[in-house]
Amino acid sequence: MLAEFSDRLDPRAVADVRALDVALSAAAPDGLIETMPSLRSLLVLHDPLRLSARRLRALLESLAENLADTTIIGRQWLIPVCYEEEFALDLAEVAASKGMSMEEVVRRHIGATYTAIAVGSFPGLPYLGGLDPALVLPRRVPPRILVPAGTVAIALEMSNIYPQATPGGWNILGRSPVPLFNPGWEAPSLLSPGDIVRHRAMPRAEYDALLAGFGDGTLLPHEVCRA
Amino acid sequence: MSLRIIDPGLFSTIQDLGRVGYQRIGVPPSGALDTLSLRMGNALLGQAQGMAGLEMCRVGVRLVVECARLRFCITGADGTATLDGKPLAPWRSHTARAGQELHIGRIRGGAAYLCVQGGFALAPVLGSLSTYTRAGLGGFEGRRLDGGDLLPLALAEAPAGPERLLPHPVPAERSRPLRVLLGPHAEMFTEAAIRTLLSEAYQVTHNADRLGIRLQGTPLEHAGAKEIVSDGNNTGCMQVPGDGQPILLMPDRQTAGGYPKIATVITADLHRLGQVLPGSQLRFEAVAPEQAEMVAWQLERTIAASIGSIQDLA
Repeated sequence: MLAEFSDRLDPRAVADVRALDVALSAAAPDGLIETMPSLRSLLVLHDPLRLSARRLRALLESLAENLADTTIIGRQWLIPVCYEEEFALDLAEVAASKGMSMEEVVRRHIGATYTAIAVGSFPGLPYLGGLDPALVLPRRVPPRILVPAGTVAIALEMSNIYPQATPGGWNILGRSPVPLFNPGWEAPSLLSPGDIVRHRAMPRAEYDALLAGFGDGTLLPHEVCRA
Repeated sequence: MSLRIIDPGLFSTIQDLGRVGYQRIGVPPSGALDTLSLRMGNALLGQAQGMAGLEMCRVGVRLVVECARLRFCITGADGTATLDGKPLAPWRSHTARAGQELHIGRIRGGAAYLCVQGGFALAPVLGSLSTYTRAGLGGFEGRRLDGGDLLPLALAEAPAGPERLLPHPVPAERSRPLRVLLGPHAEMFTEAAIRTLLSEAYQVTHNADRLGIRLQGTPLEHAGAKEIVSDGNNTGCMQVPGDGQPILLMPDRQTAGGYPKIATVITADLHRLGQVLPGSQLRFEAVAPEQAEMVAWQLERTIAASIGSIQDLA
């Protein structure tokens, strides 16, 4: 069952989705399998043998009437990004299309405070809302066949970080060495819905050092990136 | 004590009933395409229905048994299984000795399952043994099997005892339409599109795998926008991209998607999606949620009766 709050990306809907998710998990009705908060709706998976659609709907409606108005603040992260030419495949094009210098694009990308409004489509992949409105762009058509792991890219009103090499259609600004997903971690995704993310720029040498440290396990992203 | 894979078949992966609770961080459930066949296989071996088995699509494995005594069964689509060249009957358990060669050749359906008594000695990842190959998670090294793999068994020697037979498998109902709930985005389609979906046949294309089944037929027309702000997917939902050709999402699907979803296959019919074949025709019938729940109850009763019919062979 899908509880929809808006047909657009809107901050009120994001907050309502999160509040309903929290309220539903607190209510913990028998037969609830799992929920998935996304940008404007809450997907509720339930076992029809134990929780009927009628009862679930009634429960969601009553919870939705009394949603807590407090915004839930997630953990805060500072994730370093290398914006150098080798990684910033679309930076020049983005700058040209926006009539800005490349430095200006990077400055605006670093200047924003992002919220992970959802984590999905791939393990650990965050949809970061809060992109500077001056950087809003459509996805690339056609998408790239393979985008390297760690790629930091923007599209629409969002920024994201690809946890693993996958096909992708977003506009690539840089690359981060920070691993985002590991099933061996207690929380397998570094980022959870609601977390606050900022970026900082770093030179190539630091990128290489961090990548090596994360690779051999001497560095942990939970420590390196805690803001 | 293991199964030594000589030929891995086309796409053979370890699957259980799926990984629950991680969709919110981008991890789809994975799990058996045909959960019913996996459950029945485990029931035949007298073990928990949700234990992991080896799922094989289109062409099965050839392997050598490397343990003292293996009790196993093969369920799901019919195949041409042999043990040292001798045909094996489906829907019953069998015992193999060290060195024997088990071959499951062409599979005449979507997926077949090899269940072994005691299961496989593999560590769960995020609470499940299911393989999610796209992210390299779970199962055997996070991937499909390859020639030369040694698939570890939990039991070195299956306990002695009579073989077991399932005389009344749950009927496959291949010709019955798939029952769907309309929505969650049915209102984003024209009334004509809804009528078309519920009256015409859609052909299963060759683009059908553990991620999704692409269908082909009369295009389903969007009433307005052809895309949505992404929201959560579930297994069995039918998303319709701009070209109007529907895609049924399967257990390895993305967790969220940006195309409107016109309808969702009911829980009790999901296992049938695991047995559809490219080139075949699918029809859809809309039901109300109450009806979907009744059908789910009926299916569980049928399964319980079928399991109750399992008998020892002399």
